[in-house]
Amino acid sequence: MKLLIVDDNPDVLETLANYFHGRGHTVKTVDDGLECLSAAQDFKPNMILLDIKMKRIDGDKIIIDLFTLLPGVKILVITGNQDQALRNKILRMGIHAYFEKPVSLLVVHQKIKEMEGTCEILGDSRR
Amino acid sequence: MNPYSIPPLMSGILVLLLGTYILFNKGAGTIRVVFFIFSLSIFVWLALFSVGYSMQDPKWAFFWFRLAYVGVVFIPVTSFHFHLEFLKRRPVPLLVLFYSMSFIFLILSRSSLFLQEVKHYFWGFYPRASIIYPFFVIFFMCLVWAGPWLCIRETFVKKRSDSTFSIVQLKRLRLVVIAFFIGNFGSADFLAKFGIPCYPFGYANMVIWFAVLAFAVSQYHLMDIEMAAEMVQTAKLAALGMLSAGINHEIRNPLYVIRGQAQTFLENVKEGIYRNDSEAVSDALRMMRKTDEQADRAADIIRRLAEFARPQKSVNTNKPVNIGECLDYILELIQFEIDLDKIAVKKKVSSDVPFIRADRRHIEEILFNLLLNACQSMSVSGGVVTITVWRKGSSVQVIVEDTGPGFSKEKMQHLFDPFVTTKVSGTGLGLYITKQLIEKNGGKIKIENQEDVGARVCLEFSVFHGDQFVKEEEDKIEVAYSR
Repeated sequence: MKLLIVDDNPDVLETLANYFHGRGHTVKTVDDGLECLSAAQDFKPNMILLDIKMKRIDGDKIIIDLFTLLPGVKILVITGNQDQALRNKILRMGIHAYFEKPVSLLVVHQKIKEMEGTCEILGDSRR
Repeated sequence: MNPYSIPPLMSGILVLLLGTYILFNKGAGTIRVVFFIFSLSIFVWLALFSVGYSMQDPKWAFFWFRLAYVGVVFIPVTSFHFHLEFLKRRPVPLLVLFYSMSFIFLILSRSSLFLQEVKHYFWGFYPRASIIYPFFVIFFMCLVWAGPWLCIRETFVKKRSDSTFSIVQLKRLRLVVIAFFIGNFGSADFLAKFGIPCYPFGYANMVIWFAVLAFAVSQYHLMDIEMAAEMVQTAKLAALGMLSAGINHEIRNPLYVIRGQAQTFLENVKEGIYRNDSEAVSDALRMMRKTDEQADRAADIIRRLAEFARPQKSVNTNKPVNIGECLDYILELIQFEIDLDKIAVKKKVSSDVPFIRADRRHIEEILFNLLLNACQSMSVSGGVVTITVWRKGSSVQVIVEDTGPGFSKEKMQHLFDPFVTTKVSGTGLGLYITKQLIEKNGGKIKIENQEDVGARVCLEFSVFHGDQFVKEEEDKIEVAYSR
């Protein structure tokens, strides 16, 4: 499974990468919303673990683009956001899961395992 | 129906309405209860006298007038008690004495030695004073005037000793004094009881009393925030509350990392990922270090906040303050908010900026309020805050410029008024307190809109001259020794 992890905090990235790498996934990390788009294009992940509040551009601003770029991709939002309005807005964008930090990695992992079966093989589906 | 009976009734209802409003809308507290009992007493007085006026039978009129004294006897003591509560004083034995005396007068009011038969005037019947009544009048006058007198004294004492936060408090004091001063002249009603045919216009004074106090309640939040220092602390905490989104974000990340590290290790062990103990130990060591680091980070955020939120115990506006350091401290505190709102901060502190003469924590609070205001004005769209600090002759100037929408014409007129706010969670005290603090530290503030975009705030503080400080420090030491 190819996971793209997006968060502007390097320690968070390291922790998540370490965990999911250890569980047999191919992991790529980026610390910025803008880079996330190009990384998504090159890396073609099955799933994206996406933070919301980031330095240059917020996660919610790129969700639609990510879906356009990779139509079958599963997006799991993991955020420290507490703003209800923003939360509702994100939930309406068709994401696959929404977690609040500090969520248990086991819970995230469980969700990933559940969705694994439904993931399309990306690469050909972009056309 | 006697037309003279209508105005007192109306006036009584107004007074009772105000008392009831304050009792139910301004939270708990003795002062509100006392105020309510006072307004109830006034209502009983005015309403029952109104009933008395409209009686045809002198016996019945007398019955109602006498009944009105259930309220009248408590007017002086509740008025006095209200002033004491307002000044935050509570001499219990004195109050017990006065309340007891009021009850004695209440019992005496049933006797014919207090009031005797009614006399007929052009406005209707009116009761006549008897032998004991003059004592009640003296008791009444002493107490109703003692309250305003204490308030006036407080005004002068406060003005001299506490120069900063007392402006709203002073205005409230003044309004209370004016209201009760005018209200107290309603006691001219006593004249008719001694046979002088002077129309009892006391109800009209109570209407003015009502108007002045209602104004004080609506404009100066009378009975809302009692103490200036508390008010400052409330505003500071409210401002800190506005940082909550950034802080929340910033504390969740370290927690998330700590949890993630621990879970990774536990899962690795459970799933037998480590080939041997030494591999597990080395991984654990690495993770523990990370965890420790992250705990430090979270603790640091909390420590900084707590430090800023702590109420200030002593103030010394005569100390050398490095404004650049204050600025760094505050920028660090609001860093998360700045990041979250994608605001860029440009700081230009010229190298020759001398120390200013001020209180460090005051300066920090001033900068905090102004920078937070600037950031909030741009929180939707992002923008740039530019802070310039430079020496201008014998003063130091701090200029805070933002690229937000600036202030509207309307807002500009009420910038420094208390309790004026456009923010949902604002107390409306931010700029008001900021100005007070600046002035207390001998500084000046000017706010204007920039020509093209955004607002500009200019602060000016005087430069600190070393020997002043040394001299004062020496004075202090001498005092310390002489004690």
